[in-house]
Amino acid sequence: MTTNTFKIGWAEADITPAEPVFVSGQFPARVSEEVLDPLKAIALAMENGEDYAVMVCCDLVCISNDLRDLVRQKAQTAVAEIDPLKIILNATHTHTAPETRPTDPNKGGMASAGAGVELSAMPVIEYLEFASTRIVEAIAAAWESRTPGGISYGSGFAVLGRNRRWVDRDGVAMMYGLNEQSAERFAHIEGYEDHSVNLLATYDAANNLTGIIFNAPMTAQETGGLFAISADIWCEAREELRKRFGEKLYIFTQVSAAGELTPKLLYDKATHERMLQLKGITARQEFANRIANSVGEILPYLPQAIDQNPTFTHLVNTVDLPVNALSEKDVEEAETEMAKLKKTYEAELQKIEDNPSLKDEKRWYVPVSQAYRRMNWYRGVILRYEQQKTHPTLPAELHTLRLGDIVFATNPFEYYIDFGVQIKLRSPALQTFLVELAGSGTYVPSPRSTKGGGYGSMPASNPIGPEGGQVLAEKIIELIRSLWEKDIK
Amino acid sequence: MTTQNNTLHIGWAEVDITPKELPVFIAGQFHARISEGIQNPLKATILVIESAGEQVVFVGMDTVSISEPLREAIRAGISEPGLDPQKVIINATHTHTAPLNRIKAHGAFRPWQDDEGGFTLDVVPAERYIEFAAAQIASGISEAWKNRAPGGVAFGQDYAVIGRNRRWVDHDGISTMYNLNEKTADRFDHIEGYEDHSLNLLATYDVDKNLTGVIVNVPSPSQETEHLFEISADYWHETRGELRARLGEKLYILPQCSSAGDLTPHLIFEKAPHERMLQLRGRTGRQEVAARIAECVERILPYITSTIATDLELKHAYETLQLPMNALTEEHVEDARKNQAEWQQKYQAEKQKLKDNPALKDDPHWYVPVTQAFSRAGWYGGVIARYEKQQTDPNQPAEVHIVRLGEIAFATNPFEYYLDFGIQIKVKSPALQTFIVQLAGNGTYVPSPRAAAGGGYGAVAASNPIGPEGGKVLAEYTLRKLEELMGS
Repeated sequence: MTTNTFKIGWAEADITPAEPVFVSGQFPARVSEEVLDPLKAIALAMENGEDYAVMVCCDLVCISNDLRDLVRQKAQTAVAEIDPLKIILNATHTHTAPETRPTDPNKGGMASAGAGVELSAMPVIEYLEFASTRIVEAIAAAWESRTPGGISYGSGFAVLGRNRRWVDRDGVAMMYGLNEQSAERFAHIEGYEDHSVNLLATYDAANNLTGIIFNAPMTAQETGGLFAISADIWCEAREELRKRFGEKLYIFTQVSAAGELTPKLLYDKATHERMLQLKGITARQEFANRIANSVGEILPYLPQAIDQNPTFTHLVNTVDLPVNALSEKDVEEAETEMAKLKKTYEAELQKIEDNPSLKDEKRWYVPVSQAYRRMNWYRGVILRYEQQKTHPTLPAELHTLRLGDIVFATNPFEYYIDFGVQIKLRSPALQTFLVELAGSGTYVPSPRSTKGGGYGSMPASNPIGPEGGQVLAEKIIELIRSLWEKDIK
Repeated sequence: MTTQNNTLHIGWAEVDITPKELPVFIAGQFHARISEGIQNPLKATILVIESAGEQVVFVGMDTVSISEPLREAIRAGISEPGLDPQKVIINATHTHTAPLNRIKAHGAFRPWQDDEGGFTLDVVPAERYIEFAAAQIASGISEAWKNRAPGGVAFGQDYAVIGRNRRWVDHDGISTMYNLNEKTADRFDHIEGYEDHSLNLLATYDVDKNLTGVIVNVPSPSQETEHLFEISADYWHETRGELRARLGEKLYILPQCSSAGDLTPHLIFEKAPHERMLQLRGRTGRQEVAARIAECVERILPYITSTIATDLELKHAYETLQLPMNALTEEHVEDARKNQAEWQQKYQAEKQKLKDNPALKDDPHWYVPVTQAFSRAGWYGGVIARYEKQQTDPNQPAEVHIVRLGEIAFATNPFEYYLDFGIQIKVKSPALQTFIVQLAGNGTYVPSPRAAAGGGYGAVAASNPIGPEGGKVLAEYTLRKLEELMGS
């Protein structure tokens, strides 16, 4: 008889802030005005006596290095037996969760430089303190609750993430903005869409379902413009999944490579809206239903394939990726844009100074912070140009986990789908669960997207460019293949 | 009976078009296939809609494409007073396991006695199948026309992942259809185009609001088991079964294929997990597609019954466009001549093999290599013939129908129309839902500009009598006509 050494532990923590916070994910600053639904961190611990990992999925836009490092630092005390590097955090990319990148006016980029005006909200470092404590509690609880169990996996399809970039007849690409006027110029949707769903189900020793990992190329940003706290689609999706498959089900979300995909439609919008009206549901509920439908189409067939003793190996690597090589022209363009935005910012500031009662208006700070943060976004290009002279690479933490015949491969970015398909295609694993946003982002564009430009595929969006993206793909493939070396030989 | 107001009159019929005289040539691959049996029946489903004297007849047919002789034979067989044969739209499901219905085309195999006595392929001629299918369909049209009665329609949309993009681009920008394997994967850069997983549904109801039939419009040809040497409707066989099991045995089901020139139900990556899931579910690939379509239809139907309309404006315009042909160059011709000569040589070699070793004919598919060579040579020969034709006549006719039914529209084309064009039409169409109907005619591929840039089967001179320029003209015409019909 084989001894079952594979153990699984689950836990969930609430990471909803108790007071107003800076909401992360858009150019303008947003201060949360309400909590629509709670934010969660879900922890899954797996070990087989030889290796282990603790994965944590968070209802956040990304995992800042500060959050990651704080969690690991606290975990060293709270769960001393865990190597902090074995902790993997990933985000659902909800655009209605607290900012986790501390304000630092010396840094470039959209979020780090703050709002450009004084706003009353919980400082980012306070939220970091709170969230990291809760996350570590979940890590400890998952680790301590691990008991013998098994896994099973399957795949299916659900139409969730849609490509948001389109190309006009002159080859110029754009994100969104496809309307009656611009449609005349429309040539094609730039890239692909991946509607595959990868599902991992966990079972206790008696083969009862305990939790699932739902992996799909879809970010949770259906209501990403709200001035509120919300898990977005995952609020409804968790409810729907628990209603169908058990109230105690743990639900772990992973976003596969989906740098240019969101739940938003570029066309057929009127039809979509009409169907929602006829069904009497919100778009978030519609996506929740699609998620639950796809899980329902896979789960019934998995118990026959439960593996109580899967192979388990977890590799942790940090790779140095070549930065997006910026030119003087890029800097000049950034400077021009910055100068324009600086004027706008100063004009907005002046308006407020001239008429302080503007501050009585709700969201008065949107135009001024929008200009300020855009300005800093371009400033990032100039700072990166200086940095690349001495630091031509950027580090990226990668986790590669083999679990039986499947693999999990993380990256910290919003990784364009062409790279994702390359990895899935060349991976020797039966199913490849790519996990993007296991880190701080941001966009790593495909070569064809940078030809067209536009938000997401331009110097200000891309600290790592297509070359770095390709190096990353090759590295991930190499790491996955290394875990199958024995099988290949 | 001609209706004077906008009251909809709807009639349905379904006829069997499984060949009775066998064997036949099966259409859809380069090489010949002689039918070795009937795996499941072929159907043609007919829907007549009439409103205020305007009419449309949709015919969804289990076949690879609709040749002109077939279309004309069907129309010639219509003798119902008041029914305009030109208002009959016939579209193919693109099953690759139905009888040949082309009389003259490159590689259109005929009962075949090779001149030099190399081999004989004895099948029932395509003309006989055309005659039979046309008579069946004409009688079905007559039945649907006579059956038409007041009723209503409702429409909706949802998603089902069916048609997958089959073309990929390597790091050098070269496109290939399929053939993505362990060796080639290292060159893979990206999937060339897009995928469209929308399913557009039109449901019809009788006066008591009982569901009578559905038009299911998906951007996927029916070619899951496209290599069989047996007659089959491919996944529409299982889909009809599944839909009827769920929604009623008497349900009429009319399949339409939306723009899907570069899509098929085949996966080019993640094939192993797909196969594993089929095994775990105990389903075939065709049953899987059927389940996805049926589930999708079931997700729509309950919500649209509240919108059943019995009075709707129907407009139907049709025209035979003269589309600019793919402008071929001398270089294309030279290339075609070279390839044609190579395949002709292979053809001679294959014939010689058969002569030298008659025992080869003991293999039931002995004729595959020789007919493959013959057909490929003919395919390249088409380029030369088109080059000569374009010197005096640079256009090719294409019959196009645009139908408005209330807030939705149908836009047909005879081609395997690359998805980028379909999305252009959907993006710009003023209709609430646009049911694009490709293969309402003879085919073949009309490639997108980006596909033509990458080349490969489906986007090379030999594949494309109409090129991206002609594709653009067609999209622009379709949109103009949609604006015209949807206006006011």
